[in-house]
Amino acid sequence: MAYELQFGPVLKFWPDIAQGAVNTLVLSAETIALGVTIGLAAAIARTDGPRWLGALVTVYVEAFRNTPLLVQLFLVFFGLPLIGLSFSADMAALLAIALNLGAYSTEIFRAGLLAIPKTQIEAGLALGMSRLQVIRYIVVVPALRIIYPALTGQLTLTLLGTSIASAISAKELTSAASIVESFTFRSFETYLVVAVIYIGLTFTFRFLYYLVGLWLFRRRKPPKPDLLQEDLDPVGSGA
Amino acid sequence: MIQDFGWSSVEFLARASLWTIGLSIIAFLIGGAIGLTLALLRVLGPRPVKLAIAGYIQIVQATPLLIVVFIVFFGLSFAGLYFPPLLAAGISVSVYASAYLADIWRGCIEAVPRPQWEAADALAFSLPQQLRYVVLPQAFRIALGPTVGFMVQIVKNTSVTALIGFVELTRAGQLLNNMTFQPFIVFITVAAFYFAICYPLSYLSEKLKGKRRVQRAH
Amino acid sequence: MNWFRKLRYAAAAATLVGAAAASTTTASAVTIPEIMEKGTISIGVLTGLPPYDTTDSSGNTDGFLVDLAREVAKSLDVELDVVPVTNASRVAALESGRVDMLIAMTTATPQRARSLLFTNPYGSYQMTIVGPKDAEIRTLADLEGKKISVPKGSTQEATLISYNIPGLQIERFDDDALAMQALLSGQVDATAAVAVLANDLLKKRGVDDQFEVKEDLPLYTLYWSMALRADEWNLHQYLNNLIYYLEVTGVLDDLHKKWTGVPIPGGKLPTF
Repeated sequence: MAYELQFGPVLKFWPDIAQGAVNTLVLSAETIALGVTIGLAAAIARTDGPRWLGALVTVYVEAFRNTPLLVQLFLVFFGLPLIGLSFSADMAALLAIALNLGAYSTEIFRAGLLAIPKTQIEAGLALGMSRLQVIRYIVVVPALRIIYPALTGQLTLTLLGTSIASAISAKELTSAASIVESFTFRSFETYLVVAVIYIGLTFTFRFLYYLVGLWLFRRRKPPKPDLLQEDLDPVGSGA
Repeated sequence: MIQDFGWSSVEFLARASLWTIGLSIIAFLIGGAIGLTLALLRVLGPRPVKLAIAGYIQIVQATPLLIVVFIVFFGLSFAGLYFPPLLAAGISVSVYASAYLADIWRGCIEAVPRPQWEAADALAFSLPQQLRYVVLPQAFRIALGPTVGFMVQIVKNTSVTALIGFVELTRAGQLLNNMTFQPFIVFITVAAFYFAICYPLSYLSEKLKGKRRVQRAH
Repeated sequence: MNWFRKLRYAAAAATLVGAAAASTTTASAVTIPEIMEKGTISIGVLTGLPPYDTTDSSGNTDGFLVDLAREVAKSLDVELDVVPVTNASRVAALESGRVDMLIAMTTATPQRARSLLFTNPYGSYQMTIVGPKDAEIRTLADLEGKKISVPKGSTQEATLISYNIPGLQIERFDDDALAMQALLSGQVDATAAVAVLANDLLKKRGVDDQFEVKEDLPLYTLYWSMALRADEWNLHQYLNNLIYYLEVTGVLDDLHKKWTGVPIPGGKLPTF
């Protein structure tokens, strides 16, 4: 007998799958907001902060970049309660993935900050620009333009990385998939449907980054995406 | 029934980390071979080939790795292709590795200045000669840092092969946790093993990239 | 523009992948004579749930389920190929032809039976609710509005859902150990655990002064079936026969005792 794909039993669960997709969307957006903030703060601390703070940031960055996200997730969820910090699964997932993104984006932001020569800032001030103008036109926008491809690439990986949160019972698309799979025992159909949704979500996010890029760099050529500048962490493992 | 975490547990993890390293090497070799072919075709191939490769890269990079491995591994089984577990696991991860490596290396090939190609062409080098003697050696030097950096990701992501029954470092940690019910000590140790494998690679990658930055500054 | 072009490639590639997936076919039904001629049977065994399954330091798996798989191979006088599977991969391993059958703690529900073929149960376990000592959990109604951790895709999950307790929040974890840990680190109000394990664990981890098995709640006996592809009737009939034989000759109980210390709970196994 040939195996026939039957999507019917899986698609009956569409409200659960849709809810899972929405949860993934929300979790990704929150994680990105928190992670980018952490990354930016850590990058500034490492470039301009005192020595000890820079050392601390280095330890944080290396620890998170050289261990798997799943293990970080377990340690946040099961380890932090040992020192009295207990989080719900969704919060723990948000925190762990944001810390992971923070570590990667620290390096990305730092590359951007280091790429702006001090002399350019001085030149801007000499031309009579205000401090705010200098920060905006000479530091932030050009630096962002340099790192934009690497940053958005990392954000895409963060979106895919949220799929790991189901290991600790956080509710998102992959956990919805495992529920549907467990009810129906139609594995391929479930994972194919979920794969298509992830691809859809990823392309939607990429399109948003493209639009934001157009707006941010409207006076310049938008940056070309490439993967050269940073090693990206394509998380998304988990059993 | 319940065991305690002890030296034998560390030994168990150490042995599993050898699988992680072995799998990473296999995935890197197979993924690298596919990735290099794709990178070259993406730069030099006819338009439909370029489009197909771009599509492949885009799709793989937009799907969680676990699902990629699931579809590849069981897809192979559906097609009646059975490989020894180590090879099958390596092939599954290499699909993901090839998509990223192809992208990284395409960038490196394109980063070789255009005049270099033209000069080689003017010297009457054939296309394979241009690649062999002029372009690839330079691209190789550019690619070294990012490639070593990406190996860190391969090492960490071989954990998805747990899905297909492979007991590598992460899966060993999970099994150990099921036997000892001591997640904190288990996963801290697992993290330490990963760090011991990955940090030297990260360090080397930074050094290689830094060297290039200095070279470029001259 | 660049972006739209990429989307188009992606759409084209997705169509290709979809077409490839849709056209796949699998190995046809395996029959007993074919297996005997082939000389091997490959069985997917669920790993990672001691004492039913343990893994030694070289990654080899052993336990109640593997012993059962050995009995199946021995009865047919063929070699055994054990393929470790997880909850997420077991059905795919079977459907894709990677394994001939599953001994993977699957519970036969009518909904699942639309996709696969289940044998008569070969074993069972009792589910208990474990919670903090000071939590008043005497009846199922006391679970209202509580958070309970279960292993993902497990029978505990299916059972709790079937209780239909209003406001019960079921938190699904990757495996039994993580579900238990969620209780110990205070992230859930209770956990649904395997009875033979729960008491042993609480004592061993020195938390039996804080947590206990809620004895007043009914024990729920859950049965496991072997699973086959939907058309493997020949093998199905053979396995039912074997399970019956292993039960009446006491082999099933012996194996269960060997790994868990007690005979299979619930008395005589049901048949269907």
